[in-house]
Amino acid sequence: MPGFCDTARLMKPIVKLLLEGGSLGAAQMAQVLNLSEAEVNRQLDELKKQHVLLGFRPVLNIADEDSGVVRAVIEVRITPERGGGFNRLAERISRFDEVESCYLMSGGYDLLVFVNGASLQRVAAFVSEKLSTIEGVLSTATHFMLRSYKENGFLLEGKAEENERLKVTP
Amino acid sequence: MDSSRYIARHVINLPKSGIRDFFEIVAKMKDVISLGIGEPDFDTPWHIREAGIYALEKGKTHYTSNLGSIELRRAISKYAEKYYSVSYQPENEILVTVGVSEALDIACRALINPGDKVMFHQPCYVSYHPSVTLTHGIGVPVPTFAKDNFALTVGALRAAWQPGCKLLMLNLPCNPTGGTCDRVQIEAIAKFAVEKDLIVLSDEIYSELTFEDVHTSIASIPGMKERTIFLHGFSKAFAMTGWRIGYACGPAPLIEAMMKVHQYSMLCASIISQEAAVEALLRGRDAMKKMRDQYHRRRDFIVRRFNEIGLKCHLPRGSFYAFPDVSVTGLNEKDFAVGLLQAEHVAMVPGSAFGANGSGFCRACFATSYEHLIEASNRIERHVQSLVKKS
Repeated sequence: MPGFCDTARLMKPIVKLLLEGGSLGAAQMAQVLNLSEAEVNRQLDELKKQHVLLGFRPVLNIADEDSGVVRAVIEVRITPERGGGFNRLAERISRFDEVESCYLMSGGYDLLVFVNGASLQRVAAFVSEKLSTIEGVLSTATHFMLRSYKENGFLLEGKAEENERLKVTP
Repeated sequence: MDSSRYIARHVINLPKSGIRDFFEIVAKMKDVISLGIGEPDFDTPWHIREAGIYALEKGKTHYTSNLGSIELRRAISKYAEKYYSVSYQPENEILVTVGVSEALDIACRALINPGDKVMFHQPCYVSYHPSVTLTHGIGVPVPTFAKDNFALTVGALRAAWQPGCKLLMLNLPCNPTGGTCDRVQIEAIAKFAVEKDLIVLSDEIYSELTFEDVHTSIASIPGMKERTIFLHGFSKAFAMTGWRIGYACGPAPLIEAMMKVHQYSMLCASIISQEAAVEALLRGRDAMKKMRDQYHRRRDFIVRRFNEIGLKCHLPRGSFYAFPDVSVTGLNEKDFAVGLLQAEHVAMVPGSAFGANGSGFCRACFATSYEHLIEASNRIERHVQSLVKKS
């Protein structure tokens, strides 16, 4: 049975492959890494347990107006607390389903919150009824996203270009 | 009228590249997974492309100095010093060329008198021997072998050497074998070059893509700078094949001689490419390392697969080519490659396209996606099994 160090070493190739390998399935990853499929799945589970791999999500093009998704970025100023700083409030805000991502920032505000909603009104309601009413939230500034050009590393405009390499070159 | 009778004899006698024959067959087929491509699958990193666009926006649409822009030559000088441990004067020891291909061609034209002999290791890049022939020189191939991981040995050099040898061409790491030489081997080659009074043309286009050890440039060996023309470019490391940009560094009199040929033929390299090249040298190392890491992992995969399949394959220590031995199938490399293409729609280039010494091998480029590498290796396995069963 591999010790902890062995496992840690094995983890690295699989993480690198996840990051560069596009959409390889477990069977393909097993081939590339010269491991059994079961071992690949075990390592993926291990990464999840260690909270290194949080999950997989498709990157969708939800830029068009019929998608029914409104997105906003909200700058939030909050009051830090003795003992916990910004964490308790940040974690509380993060738990809302509407919140896609939440970051503690340097500069003129404290939290940058990415929010999704079915309509402008829904997002507005979330901000005015849920977010700004939390005790400790001092102010919010909401910016609605008008258009997306790149999502998680994928360009939205322009279809994937055909690889134009010649088939055989010296 | 038979116009072919006007063609110069040495051009008529020049054999057609074996790669072109193979390309004609592949080009007609659909759904081919090609491992026959000699260039990166990555596009040029955006910041480098952006520098090219910016050059156009700024109105950089004119000639540069014949030697290349001084900014680029300064950047090359710093890069060579930092990563190859050899220093060149930007003013008179560096010439910017249209890819390493041009640099190699003009080096031959500047140095070779009719009848001069030029040593080069084989299997090798397709243009080496023709470059020598076109300048009325005589090519002297030096074999490299799978048992040495296709490193060039002094033993082979000594065995091939003959009176009248003037130049030695090196391409380490090597296209098509991925073979390279470590420092000790390079030092031995350098000693041999001094002993036989050879000028070395060192094409180090794949040097950044060295996976084991650290690449050693022969120009950095004491006493070698004065007899070496260091050739390098941007195509492989920075995924810039289409930009056609490279350079030659060497002793001022030799660079001056090459510049004469260059100024009357090419005049200067594209200014847009030169501007992009500056960006690549100054800020391109991170993107290059990322690509290299990916090639490294793909190499480990495909070489392991070839060996599992039964096609014995040495570990290429540089470049993005694997060079498996296909003789176990009972076929020669051409029949194997054509059969594989027809039966399984996978293209590998027959090793003999890179010189007679490549017989029995095929070149597989692993600069392609994992999906393609996995699928190609499965198809090759199926094909090899069907051949081995028959025999």
